Amino acid sequence: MNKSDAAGAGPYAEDLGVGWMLQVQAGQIQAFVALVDHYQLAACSMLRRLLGRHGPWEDLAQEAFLRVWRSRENYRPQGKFTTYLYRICYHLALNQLRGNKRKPLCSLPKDAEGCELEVEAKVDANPSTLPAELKEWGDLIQAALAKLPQNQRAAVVFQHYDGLELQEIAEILSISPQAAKSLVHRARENLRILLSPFREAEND
Amino acid sequence: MTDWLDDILDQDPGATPAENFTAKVLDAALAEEHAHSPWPRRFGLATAAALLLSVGFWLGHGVQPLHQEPVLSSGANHAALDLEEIYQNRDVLEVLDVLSDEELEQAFLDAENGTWVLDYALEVPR
Repeated sequence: MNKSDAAGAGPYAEDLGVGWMLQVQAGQIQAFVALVDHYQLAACSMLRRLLGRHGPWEDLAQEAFLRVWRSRENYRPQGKFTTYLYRICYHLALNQLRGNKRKPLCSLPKDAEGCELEVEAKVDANPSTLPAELKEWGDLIQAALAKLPQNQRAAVVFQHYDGLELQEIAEILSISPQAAKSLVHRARENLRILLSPFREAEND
Repeated sequence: MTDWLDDILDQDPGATPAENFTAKVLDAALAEEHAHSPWPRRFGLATAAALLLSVGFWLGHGVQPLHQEPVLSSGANHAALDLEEIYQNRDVLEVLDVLSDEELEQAFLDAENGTWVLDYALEVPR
């Protein structure tokens, strides 16, 4: 990144994606190619975990990068580039899920911070609801993630697979860091309930 | 002690984007840029307009304008005007009733030769 780009990046000068995005803004198409090359795996994987293996995760990932391209003139580095990209991806996934009329297993009331209430009592974290024919862990994990409400699913995916901090997760989901922490905690507890019988069976 | 859940979650393989993923994104982005560019669009519109005009001119060449008035001789011009008066003159029309439709048809079609209808009508005493 040259000096002018670094100046525009502010406190995120060390962020690779921010640097490329500023170069794209300056008209350097090769920077956009580098951006897509570098982040496509993360975007596709995240969308696949949110939408399921058979969902249109690749199409939405392409659409996410197109939206990045369209917004290049108005882009202002206000955080890590991954936060910016994942926010786009998450909203595309939400629109897709709403369009499919997929809803969480239960519609839960929320507190002022958008945190679900009494989730432990209502999420159908019953291992027997996972398809018995699934043998591979990848399939079981996908099925277990699909059982979670979409915000819990997103929170645990961001936390475990993308290594995001609670602050970043909160920014993407437009909630408080405390609400994000609660979502991650509940998601992990539900996943333990769903997956523990299969772990025990494997250990037997 | 590691959390067994993390070990299990690590076994999800994630996604594998298609090999041409970047190329497809780039093609779509550049296509949008081209579509929004003003000059190619104006050039295309101008070319299409010129083509339409040329085709229209070629198709219309040699065809008489639809609204052009037929050229009549002076006598027939007067006959045409008089025929208008005949239509409005009931007495004359009553006289014309004795004529056959076939004769009337021919008379009114042939403006130049049809003045005999007027002559006949005017000669009949009222």
